[in-house]
Amino acid sequence: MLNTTVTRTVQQDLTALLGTIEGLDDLPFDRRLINDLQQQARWEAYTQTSALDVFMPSFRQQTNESLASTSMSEWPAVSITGGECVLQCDHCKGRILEPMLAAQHPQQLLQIVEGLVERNGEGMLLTGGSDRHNVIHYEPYFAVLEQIKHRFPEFTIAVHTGLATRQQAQAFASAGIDVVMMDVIGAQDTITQVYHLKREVSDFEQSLAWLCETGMRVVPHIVIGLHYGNLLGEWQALEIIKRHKVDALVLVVVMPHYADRRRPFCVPDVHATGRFFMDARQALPDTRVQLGCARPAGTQRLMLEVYAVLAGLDGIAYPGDELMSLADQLAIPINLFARCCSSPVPVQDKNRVADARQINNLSAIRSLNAFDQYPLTINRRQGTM
Amino acid sequence: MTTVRGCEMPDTLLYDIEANVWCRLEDSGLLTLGMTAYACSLSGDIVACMPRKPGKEVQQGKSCATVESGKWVGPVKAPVAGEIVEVNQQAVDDPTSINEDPYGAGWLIRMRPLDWQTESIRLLGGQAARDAYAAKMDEEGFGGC
Repeated sequence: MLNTTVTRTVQQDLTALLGTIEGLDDLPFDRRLINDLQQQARWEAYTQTSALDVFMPSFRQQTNESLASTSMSEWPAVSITGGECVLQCDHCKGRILEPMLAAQHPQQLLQIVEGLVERNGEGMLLTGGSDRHNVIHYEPYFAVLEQIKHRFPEFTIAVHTGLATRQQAQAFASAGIDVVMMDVIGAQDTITQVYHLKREVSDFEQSLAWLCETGMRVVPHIVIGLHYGNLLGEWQALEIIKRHKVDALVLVVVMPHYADRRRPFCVPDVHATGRFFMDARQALPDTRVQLGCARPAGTQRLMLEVYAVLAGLDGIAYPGDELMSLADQLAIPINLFARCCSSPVPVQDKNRVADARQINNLSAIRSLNAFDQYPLTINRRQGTM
Repeated sequence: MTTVRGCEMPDTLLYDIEANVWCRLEDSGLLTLGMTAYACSLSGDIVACMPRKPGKEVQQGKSCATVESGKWVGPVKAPVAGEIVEVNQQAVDDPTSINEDPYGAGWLIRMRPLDWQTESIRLLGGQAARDAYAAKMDEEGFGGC
């Protein structure tokens, strides 16, 4: 256990503090929510051995002045259908898949992974467009996935399953998949109207149960604001997840700019979303709860990040520099990972970072925290900015 | 309009090649700057722009705005040191203007340079800028705007 030289003001005036941080200083935070978060003071639970985990996988390029992002290994997102999705939900229409690496044939997937391993890539997020029943057809890929895990056991594969069948869940486990993820929808209207599915809420719970019974690492997601930007089934989804033994919960927030203009989404109410962060934290006190990579852009993103950390979420993907400034001010220790937030966090890495924290210089820690066992790899993106 | 690999590059502007930023010294002594067409092409559709506030002093190479697209979040780096005096609220309110008209309606910042004579030496214009961008695009495997 480390002794920190940073002292934390127990009853820090959060509103006043936010007013001192450039970029957060004039944002319209909900004072009542800030007061409630202040009362709970959940951020004080962050310690050297239970730091805020920051995730920066390479499927999105983010340049932070306060994070050593160029020292990151590769962790891309790969779609087995390219940008194609038969389901054509109103919130995305397949557009989220478009920038991903396409592996529309199993051998293509193998080649991608071989290239990643050669460049010291640590893992990948595997997903794809689904059919009209929200099932993603991984069947042709199971053999090659098993082959990949056999050849490269350290290469982590996180699969977004869609509504997995029992057979698929078992096949993922047999192939050695490291982590499976699925969006849990808690409102029938959302399933029917946004997803155009003839499925029920219970189908989502059943799919989650099938994944959990395999013993794989299961990390369900709740997409906040999925009903055209409104919060509707989120609390029911939380209830469903509470009934199952999951390894972590990832909260993401719908991104309205992906929606079709003919069926537009509004930006979910950031304050109601912040309150849901608090509810999720309370509902799952012993389960990791994290803010994932998807959320609206701009000032809404900044406010959501602040609410997530003040609510005491365990991890956050792609935080902005403003959030890092707040973490500095609140003396919150940071662990930085170049991987998807659903993947397991290597404990030995956390210890190494905690050691680095002793030098009492958070900026230096972020530079040191490039994980010397993961050699430096530059993103193979077309062009840099 | 002069182009490099299909990306517009007006001859009347100076460019910070590394930061992928254009700038223009106005008669008023203020410097107007924004993202190049090349930068806009790399980032894809921009969905948010958060410039730093007027009155803020920024150093050369440091962020004067944060810009987000669906696949990228990053800083727009100041080509020279200076004080921000004006931000383009239209680009903040409607970030699509940055992609649609990067050298016009999509400008981002006006700043008062601290030492234009010294710091502007590293900025390129005309053929030198076009050559530098062509080399950069080659190096980065850029297919074109």
